[in-house]
Amino acid sequence: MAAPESGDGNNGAARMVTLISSDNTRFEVEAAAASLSQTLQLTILDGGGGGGDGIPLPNVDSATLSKVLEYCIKHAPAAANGGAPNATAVDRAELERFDNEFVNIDQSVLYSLIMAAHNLEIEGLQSLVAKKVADMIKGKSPMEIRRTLGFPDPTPEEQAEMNAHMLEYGWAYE
Amino acid sequence: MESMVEGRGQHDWSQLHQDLLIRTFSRLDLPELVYSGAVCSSWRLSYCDVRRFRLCSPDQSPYLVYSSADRDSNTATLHNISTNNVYHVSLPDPPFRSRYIIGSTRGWLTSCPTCISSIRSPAQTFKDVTPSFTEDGVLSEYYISMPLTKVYRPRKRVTTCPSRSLARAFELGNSPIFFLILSNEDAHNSNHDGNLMVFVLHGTWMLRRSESIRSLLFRSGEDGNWQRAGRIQGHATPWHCSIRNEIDGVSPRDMARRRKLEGNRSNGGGQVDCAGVSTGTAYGGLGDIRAAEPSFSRVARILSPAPSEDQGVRILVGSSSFI
Repeated sequence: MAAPESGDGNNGAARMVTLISSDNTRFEVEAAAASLSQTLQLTILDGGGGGGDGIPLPNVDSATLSKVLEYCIKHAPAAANGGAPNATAVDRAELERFDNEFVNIDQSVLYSLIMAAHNLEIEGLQSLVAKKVADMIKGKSPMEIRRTLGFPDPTPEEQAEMNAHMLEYGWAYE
Repeated sequence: MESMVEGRGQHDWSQLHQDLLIRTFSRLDLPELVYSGAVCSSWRLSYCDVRRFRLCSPDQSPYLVYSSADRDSNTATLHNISTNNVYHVSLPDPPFRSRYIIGSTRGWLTSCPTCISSIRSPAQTFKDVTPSFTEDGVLSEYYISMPLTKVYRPRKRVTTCPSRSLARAFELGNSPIFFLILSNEDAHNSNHDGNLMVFVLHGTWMLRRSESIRSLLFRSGEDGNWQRAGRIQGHATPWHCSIRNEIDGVSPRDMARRRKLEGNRSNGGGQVDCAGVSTGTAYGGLGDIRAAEPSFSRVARILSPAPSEDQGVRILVGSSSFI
């Protein structure tokens, strides 16, 4: 295993890997950051992605990938510290501020981000986008949720299902 | 690639991965949790999983559960004490108001009938635990029957307490059953192939204040017999008891943690400190168990053992957290 220990950053320059988006844009990032992705982690541990090779990510376009990497780069140091027991409150507050800002984005960007977080299996990002979606849903009725997320008008069958559900849980709709 | 092909704003949110939906829904509190199940059929599946696996957020605020004076006797009122929202849930017979709530775990409210004759009825035998489901496949209720007198007979120490005394305990409004635990299996097996275990803590503290006697019984689905698992070490106050680990799967650490989480609220009224069980199960009572909406309360305590009938508010509390 030629891979350097991730995270101590003392082996001269940190190891870099190259990721290739679906539209063939190449991104060079630190291996530690890319390793936040469970999907990429094994490949990187095996020494992949270095040199001129690059790891192709056919499901992620360049706009989304750069966004994902922004997250990974920000979170990599804390992750390398193993959940950062020695992180200061300031650091944590800074990460939280970053996270809040990070998901303050257009819905279609969020959707792509959700898909990418899922494909790349980035735990923290998955939680973050789930939290964002939960925040979008809060305080909304089923129809408002549908409208917010751009669902088409319900078909008669769907409407019937919704009505049945609302009938069953009538107390929640009072 | 998919995301490139799709145009902006054309994303189909009904097709979100189940994983994300479950993560999302488990962050929701009422009523949005319920609403999420109405959005579309794919969301409903994830919603049902969240309910079935009891994945509610640990941040969920506690609910007071009581029978409100301005509602009918079948209605349970759920009061979210952090948002001040109130929900009225209609429960099946027998009337909620007429029942003693003896605890709740994993979102289940446990109640037992107040009518002593129904407890001692010879017709009541060891029946299987019968689950019932809503149309969505969400487990909504269990019925468990347990003949009290039979349970008592094998217990030497308790044989000195005739059931007449027991009846008196009931008349005083104190259930000798403190609580019940259902096994975790209940959440995972919707088909209930006999894996469900029921733990019952009961005792006769009313009769001998100085020496409260409690024992823990359990019943596994496999052989269907009630067995005595161990004696319970009670604390000084009759209503404050904890379960000592005398059976596998009941971890004192879990219980200590649970108690710590719950704090040690002591009230004028009696209270039961329910200790949760991580690999085991829930507390049980005689009679049957009823569930209110499974997503609220997980552990409950009895604030007042014997509120009188004319009081509007009878019961108790659930705490919120899951897992």
